[in-house]
Amino acid sequence: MRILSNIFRIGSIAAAIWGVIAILMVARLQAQKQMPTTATAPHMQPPAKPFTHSVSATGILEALSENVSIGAPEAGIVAKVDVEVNDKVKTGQTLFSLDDRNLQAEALATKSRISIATANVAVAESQLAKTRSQLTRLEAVTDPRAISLEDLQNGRIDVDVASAKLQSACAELNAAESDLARNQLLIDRLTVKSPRDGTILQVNIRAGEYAATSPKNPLMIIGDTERLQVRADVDEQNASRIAVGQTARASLKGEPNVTFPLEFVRVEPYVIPKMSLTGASTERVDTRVLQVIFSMKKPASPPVYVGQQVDVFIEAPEISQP
Amino acid sequence: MTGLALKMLFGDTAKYLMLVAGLFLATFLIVQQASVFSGLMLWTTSTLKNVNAPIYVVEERVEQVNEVNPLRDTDVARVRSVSAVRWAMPLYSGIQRVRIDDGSLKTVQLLGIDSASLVGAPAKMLEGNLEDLRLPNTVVIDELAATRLAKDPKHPIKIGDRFEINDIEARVVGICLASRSFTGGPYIWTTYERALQYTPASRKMLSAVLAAPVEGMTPDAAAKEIMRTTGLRAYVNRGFGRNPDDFNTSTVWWYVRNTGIPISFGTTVIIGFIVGTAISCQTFYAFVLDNLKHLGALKAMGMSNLRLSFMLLLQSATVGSIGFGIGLLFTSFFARWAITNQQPPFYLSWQVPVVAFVVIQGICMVSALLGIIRLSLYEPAMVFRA
Amino acid sequence: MTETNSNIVVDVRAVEKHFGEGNNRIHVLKKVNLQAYAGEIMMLVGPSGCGKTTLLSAIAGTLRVEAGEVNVFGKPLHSMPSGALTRFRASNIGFIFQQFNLIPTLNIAENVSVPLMIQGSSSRKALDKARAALESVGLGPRWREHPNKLSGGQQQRVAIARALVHEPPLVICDEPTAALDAQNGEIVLELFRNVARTPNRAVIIVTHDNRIFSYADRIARMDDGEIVDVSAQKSTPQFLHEHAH
Repeated sequence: MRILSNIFRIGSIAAAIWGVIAILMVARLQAQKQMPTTATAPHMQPPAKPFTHSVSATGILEALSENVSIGAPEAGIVAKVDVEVNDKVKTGQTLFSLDDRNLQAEALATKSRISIATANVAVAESQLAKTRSQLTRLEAVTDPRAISLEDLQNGRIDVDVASAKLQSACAELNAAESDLARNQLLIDRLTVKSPRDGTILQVNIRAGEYAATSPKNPLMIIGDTERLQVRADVDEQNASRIAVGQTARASLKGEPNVTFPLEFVRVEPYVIPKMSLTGASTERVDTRVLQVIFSMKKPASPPVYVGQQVDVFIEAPEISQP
Repeated sequence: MTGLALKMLFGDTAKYLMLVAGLFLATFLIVQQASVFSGLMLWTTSTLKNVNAPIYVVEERVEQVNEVNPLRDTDVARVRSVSAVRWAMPLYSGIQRVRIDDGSLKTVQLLGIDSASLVGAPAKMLEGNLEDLRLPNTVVIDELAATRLAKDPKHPIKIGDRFEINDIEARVVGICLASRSFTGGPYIWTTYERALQYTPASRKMLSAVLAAPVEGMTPDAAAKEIMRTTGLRAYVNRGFGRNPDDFNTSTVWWYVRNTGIPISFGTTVIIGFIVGTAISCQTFYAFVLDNLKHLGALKAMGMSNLRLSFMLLLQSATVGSIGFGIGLLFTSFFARWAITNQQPPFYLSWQVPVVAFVVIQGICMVSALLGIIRLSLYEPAMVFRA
Repeated sequence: MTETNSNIVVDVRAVEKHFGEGNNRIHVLKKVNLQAYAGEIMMLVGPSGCGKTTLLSAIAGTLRVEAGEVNVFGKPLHSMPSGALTRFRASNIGFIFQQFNLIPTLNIAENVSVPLMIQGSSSRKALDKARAALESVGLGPRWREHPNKLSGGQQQRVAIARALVHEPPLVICDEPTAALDAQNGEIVLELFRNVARTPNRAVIIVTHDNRIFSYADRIARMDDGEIVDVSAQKSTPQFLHEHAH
């Protein structure tokens, strides 16, 4: 009995001490298992902002003076594409041409019409010459009895008629010739030429494809890539902090350590609904933005491309809140 | 004297065990329940642990991290425009459904983080490379997801395995360590842009903006500055405490205020307290009654009330400490199992055992006090009336 | 009696005590006077309920009287503050109870050491002294045992050792033989008389066991709250002779 009570006594005390130790070990285990909270530093430290006070915006790189979307004059099959992406083009350089065989066929018909008209003119000329010589002969007869006055008059009318016929044949020839010229113009129209100097940024057509005239899908985009411009979307709530001539820096999305200096160009005076630039599958309109345009020189490295997203910091003082 | 007191206590094995058992039960109920409660409350803030950023900027009325009231995309830029902010990055957080190989659907907590900086990435990768998150259609999953999303729990998901989030393919490139979520779903990280693709479109998708203060500024000051200039709600993320601007604190209090969890756990704790008090007081009182004759003799023989009270207090404090220790022992068994298993929730903060100790000692003191009162009513002369 | 007043150890004068309230109020002690002298064994005898235990309690300082004086070693117990009274009891009075009142969870040496512990001596010293005291009652080798392993007579011997271990000048015994059979009672009392009686110590025994009256030097008879008779015991061997030995 006494032994039993000793067992209970010593056992309970030992268990209690063990309990205190065990709970301390649990605390240690728990600390080990806990998330390493000290590692607050993000995986890749985002760079500090270039200015103490700045307005941040997301922007997109564009070629200077905007990117020109080339359209087709009319819908049709593409016959030939003369340029490739990245080609430098001059004003008037052929970009691509549409199929013009229907117009060429018309031209053939017009050409034969010209031959016919030319022949008709020759016929009319000969007729005129003939009537003219007949009249000359009649007028040469001075004896009034030999020819009647009536004959003489007929001869004169014949000359007039032949002359008019010649004029008509000439007009017909002219008409046929201008038809041909018109046809040529139409043919020329199907060959699309560059409206300005620049670089081909995008080509969306191949020979043989059907080029639609929809404004949504430009067939080609031409821009000036030597100097780029940045279109920065500033949240309308920060719009009041934007002023003409502010300096700004941009960094490529995903490459935040490299920043480029920007030159202020202008503020778009019309605040537009923001198009999502964040890569979402659907476009969502959730706020209105003020667009500010900056220009920048294309840097040597890293390579930048038109259409890339950039983070823009515009140096702007904070508005003192009431 | 102390030796005598303890020998008297340990001599009565049955009552001693009864006392210890009662106090053990009370300790176990109080500490274990309080710890499970703390663990559960900690789970509510696990997103804050897993997405580690000094400042969380959320919609003005958001009080807790599991409540998503989306912001507009440009709010990232607005927060970034605050001078006190060193950097600001978007975060998507939402519950999505994953279809696994056998066709069943599981809910997960999907997190979308900034792809360039990977701010909010898991703190510790167990397998794979975090950078691979920049590859197309890739996700990083936590350990729980590795088993939860596997067809056969014995063969957890490995790197390179695929599943579908809302019918869009996701390829696992990493497995990381993460805290359990309150909702029970595993955590899945992907980039912000891809998270939006995985998620059915809605007007506003940005759950929160993660931010850091400029150098030399505390997160608290920066958070105040963000609130002042943007009108959004900015919380710091330091850990549960007294600061009402800490997202952890705010989240936990939200759950305390708005759910029945504290009531249910509190009830158990109170039951533990009552059971402990009842058993302990009753047994100790019986112990004193049993020994009344002897204690009375001691009193007659010239032991002062003060010393007798001290003896009783010592006895009760001793059983209290031993019962408490054994309670801790059993709690530690439970804790070991819970922590290694990560289920059920368990978090032992140092305050819980300390408070429990004070409570248990309080119970013991009340018990001793009953005995002391009974004993003081006992006239030493009564010892002669056997 | 040849003793002078200077040898008076216990001096009880005109002590009054009531118990109960209203109709149940009982007058237990009615102006009791009693003296006990150093070196004597005095027995307080009388029928049940005559107030002898109450008187004993008053002498022991465990009961406050309503009127009269209780002086023990010249100290007025009736007016002593309770703390001082407790200390007085601890150092001056040895107790022997009817039911022995040994603490069952302590071994007998520990039980015996209790009065020393109460006085505040270290447990080691107290245990040494306790073992010596047990030696004197013939239980020396059994000091490790617990009271419930012992017979009634042995337990009462332990109680005697406990009552004497701190060498109190006054020993109070309440029915020391009531729980013992006749033979054991006599053995215990014999032993008690041998170890307890010193010239400086007074022993007061309450009993109604007439078989042990012979061990008393004086017998005070009580009835209905009054001392009716105090008589010296003829059969008593002269204590002077005893103590010279």
